[in-house]
Amino acid sequence: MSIDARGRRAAQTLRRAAERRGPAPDLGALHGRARRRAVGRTGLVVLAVVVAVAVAWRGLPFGPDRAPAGSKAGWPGVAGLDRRVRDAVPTGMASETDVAAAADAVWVLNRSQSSPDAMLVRVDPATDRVVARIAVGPAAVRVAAGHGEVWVLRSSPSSSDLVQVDPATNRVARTVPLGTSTRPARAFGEHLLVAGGAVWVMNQQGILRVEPGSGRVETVMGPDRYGPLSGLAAAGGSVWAVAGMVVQQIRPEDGTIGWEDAPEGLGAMIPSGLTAGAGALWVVGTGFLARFDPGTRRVVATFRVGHGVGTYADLVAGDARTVVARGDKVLYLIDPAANRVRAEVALPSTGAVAVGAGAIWVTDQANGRLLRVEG
Amino acid sequence: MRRADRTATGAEAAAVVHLAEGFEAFYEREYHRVVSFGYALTGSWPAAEDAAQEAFLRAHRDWDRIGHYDHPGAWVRRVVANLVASAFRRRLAEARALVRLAGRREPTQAADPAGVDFWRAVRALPRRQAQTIALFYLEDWTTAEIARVLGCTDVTVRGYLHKGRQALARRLGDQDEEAG
Repeated sequence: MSIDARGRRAAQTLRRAAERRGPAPDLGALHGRARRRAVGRTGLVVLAVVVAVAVAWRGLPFGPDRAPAGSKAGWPGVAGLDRRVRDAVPTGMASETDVAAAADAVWVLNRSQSSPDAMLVRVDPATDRVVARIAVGPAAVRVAAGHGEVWVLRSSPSSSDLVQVDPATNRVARTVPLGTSTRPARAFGEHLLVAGGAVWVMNQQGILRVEPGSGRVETVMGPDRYGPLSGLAAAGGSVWAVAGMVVQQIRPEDGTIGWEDAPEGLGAMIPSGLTAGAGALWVVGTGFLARFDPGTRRVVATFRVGHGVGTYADLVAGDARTVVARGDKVLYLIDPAANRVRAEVALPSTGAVAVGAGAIWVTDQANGRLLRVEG
Repeated sequence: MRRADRTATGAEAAAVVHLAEGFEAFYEREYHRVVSFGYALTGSWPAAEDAAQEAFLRAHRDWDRIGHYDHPGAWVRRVVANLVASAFRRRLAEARALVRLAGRREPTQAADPAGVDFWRAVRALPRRQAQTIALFYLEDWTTAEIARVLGCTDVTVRGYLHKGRQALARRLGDQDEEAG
């Protein structure tokens, strides 16, 4: 069969097939559908413009997420997260994180199994932008800031040291060795505090006081005296520590223990964290938060945080006005006037928590972000 | 007389008809043929119907002008040829059809294997050759009328037709086509 014959036959078949698909659609219906499509297209264009403007706005220096720290209304919020989470700063993926907040900088310590060097990430709380990344070497576990100084605690099974970072240059200034230990790390790990003119370390060697100027290291207390070392804080002109069920008051000037006791009111708590906030000390453990008055040295209130295993808070942080406790994927905002949890903020993953620079800062470890939470 | 050598007399006669008729009559008469043309170029009924309906809507909106053309059908086919050239638009039309037909079964077309093969071979041609071949067989138009749709000269259309038929003969294993 010739091409012409095949073409004519194919054309005839095709025309019949088209006719079998039904009559020509009603013109009114076609116009109606065209109008709906036009509305849809217009909607898409408007949506695209809104998204583009929003993206551009976020990226501009005068955009809403560039509001001054503490400007609660100015931060945009993060889609899919609790409305109190006002911003998310990409700080990099890590398997373990710590965070410290000073007046002019938030420091995120990222430790990753894939990289030998831990990374200290500096975030400007006025703009929520990463302004520096500083390699601080292997086994860095804690960061603390205070008195204009920034310290990182590095701890391995055999030795530990402190790394001082100069916030003026964003560089490592020096390293202070803390000695060696053959002891395994104690439960709840290490803690670091800059207060009272010294750097305070809690690790498998016990409680150490480090003179920042000379780098001299003094042992305040050995590791096995009372049980697991669970936290350091500064309040009322003293440094405080919790070891086992014992609260210790340490003189900052020489590192001697001025008072220690197992206060009534901790009950069956197994402390896992300690902080100072709103004029008090706060001990967290096994689903409870205890408020300890540093003046009277008594537990003045104990209340529940969390609804069961997995939601129990084991980290606590605070500043002059704010106290928060953190469970795995939840942040508890504490009302220090009423001694109760006033709000819960769902978090996307586990991480560390700090309070300062007008906000609560939590690391979102699984997503490599630092979240700014409104208090 | 070979069809490619016919004069434009047919188109002129058609123009007289179009001037006298309203859009509705034009739409009813041309709709299925235009859909067929769209299918020949796309191999997709949803895409063909979508393009045809869009082309007729445009013609309807501007019928005061297009209705006075010598050959409004050529204008509609030209719009369809342009619309179906977009692969994105074709996919979009198919997706819309899927949504529209959700839960309903698309009527099965009686398959003509020879016809399916022929149009598949047409779609494998370069775009302008495919458009030329589709108009030539589906509409039984002269090269001058096809040239009007494609916006090119009669000579160019003859070239497309010659090359297209040769290629089809090769693809379909036809040996007795004079192709020229």
